[in-house]
Amino acid sequence: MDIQIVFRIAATGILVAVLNQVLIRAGREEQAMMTTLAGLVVVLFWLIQYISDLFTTMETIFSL
Amino acid sequence: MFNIFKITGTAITVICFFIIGEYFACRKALRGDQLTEIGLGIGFLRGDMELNMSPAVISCENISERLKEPVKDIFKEFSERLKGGESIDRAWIRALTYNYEKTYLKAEDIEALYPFGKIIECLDIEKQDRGMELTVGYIDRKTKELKNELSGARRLYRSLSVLTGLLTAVLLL
Repeated sequence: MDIQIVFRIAATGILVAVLNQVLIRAGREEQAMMTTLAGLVVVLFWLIQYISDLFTTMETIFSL
Repeated sequence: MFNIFKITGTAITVICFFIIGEYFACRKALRGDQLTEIGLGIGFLRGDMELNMSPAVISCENISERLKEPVKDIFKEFSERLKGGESIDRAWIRALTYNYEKTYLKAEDIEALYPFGKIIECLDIEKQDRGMELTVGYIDRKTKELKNELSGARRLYRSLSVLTGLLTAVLLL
């Protein structure tokens, strides 16, 4: 697993959090929520392969 | 070498989003300017009709020379449609509708300006005067509101644009 993915997720999290706050302060709560959800979906999209590998490894180790 | 490309790409992305943010901030300012210009045109028209007693066709043609585009086009088209024999109300509505896309005005501004044609069509001078005052009053109110919102909106669009640019750069890297 590349360490870059960790930095990418951290940067995305920080930027989404700041964007969320800016939008809430501007009175656009719905757009803030949508930005947070979009950030979450993007990060999950990056992680899905690793989660899949994790389950495959667990199946192999425990012979399930 | 590869890092320089990444940094340049990030910088270009952020700058592009910043320019887009500035454009949206400018739209608000331009909307206020164009509303003020229309208010000016209505003021000139009122003065021309009251003092010089000129017909609307000639007044509008003269006024359009003194205004900036695209408001100039609205008054010019209005006068041309009047020359073509259209009724005042219809000519005004069509002049507004066909030139709406050239302006930064919103639909609510155009809706508020539509009745102006009926006001000029009115034969009662007092009603005309009152109607024009109402229209100019709406324009003044809206321009004040936009001026008050402008600095806050500018800061908001700037921060949003920079943050979105950074986020896009992170997603693309």
